[in-house]
Amino acid sequence: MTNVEKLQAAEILPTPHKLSTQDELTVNGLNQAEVDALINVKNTLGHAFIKRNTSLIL
Amino acid sequence: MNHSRRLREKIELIAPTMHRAIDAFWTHPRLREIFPEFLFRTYCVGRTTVPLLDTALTAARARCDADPVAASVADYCERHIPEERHHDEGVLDDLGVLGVSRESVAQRIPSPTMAALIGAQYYWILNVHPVALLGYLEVLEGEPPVAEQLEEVIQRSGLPRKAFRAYFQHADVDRKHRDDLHEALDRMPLSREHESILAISAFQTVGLVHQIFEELVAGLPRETALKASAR
Repeated sequence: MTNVEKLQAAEILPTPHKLSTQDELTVNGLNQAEVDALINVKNTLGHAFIKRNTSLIL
Repeated sequence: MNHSRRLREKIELIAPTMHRAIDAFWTHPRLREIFPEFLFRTYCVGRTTVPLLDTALTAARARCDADPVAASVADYCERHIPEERHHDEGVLDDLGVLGVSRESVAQRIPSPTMAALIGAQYYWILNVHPVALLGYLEVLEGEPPVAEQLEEVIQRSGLPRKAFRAYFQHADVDRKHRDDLHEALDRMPLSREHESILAISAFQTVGLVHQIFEELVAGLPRETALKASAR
């Protein structure tokens, strides 16, 4: 499972996503602890986090 | 790719959300009303910078014989501490311009979000690795205020220019602070684990800074906010 898929499963990234190539490279380069931290921060950021990523597909 | 660039790219994954909350604050039609509260929170962060750097310096020195990254963190903290001293005093002066006394600031209990922002760094420094503090600093000092934007805020809000002295000073010195931080990071022999600690500390900082700005705007009385949005 890629990091992008993990973030999608955690509903941080919408499915389908359309990250920039650079963002996708950065996301898939994160280790598990960093991905867990992003998922944890999402709890603080709430919908705004998802909105930011959603905005990428508009 | 160097360490500072890699850290910045990770921060940029979630920074736009924080930027939106910051923009919503600076462009708020009732900025005049919430600006003193913003300066209070700025003071709450500013007064902890030297103590945090001191804590990181002590923790780094304790490890530095066997840990070259800790040795580099100690060097960085030693150089940076004198540059941060008394910055919080400037914010108190700016609050004074707005009629907020030093006594009232001293008596106020900061919010749990402020405590979480600063307290998290003590946890990372003391229990994980002092390099974590540089992730926090990258978020707070990585994007310095721009003097032209501050001038525009003064024009639009009608707030006295004297209440922005600390921010103008930051616009001036934070560029150097940012460059020094990047240079220090790029010289460090960071492992993948160190990079991860930096990123996690930075992610948490972004989340909490975002929350602080949202709380600032949400702190306006509902009636006032409604009146503002009706204009």
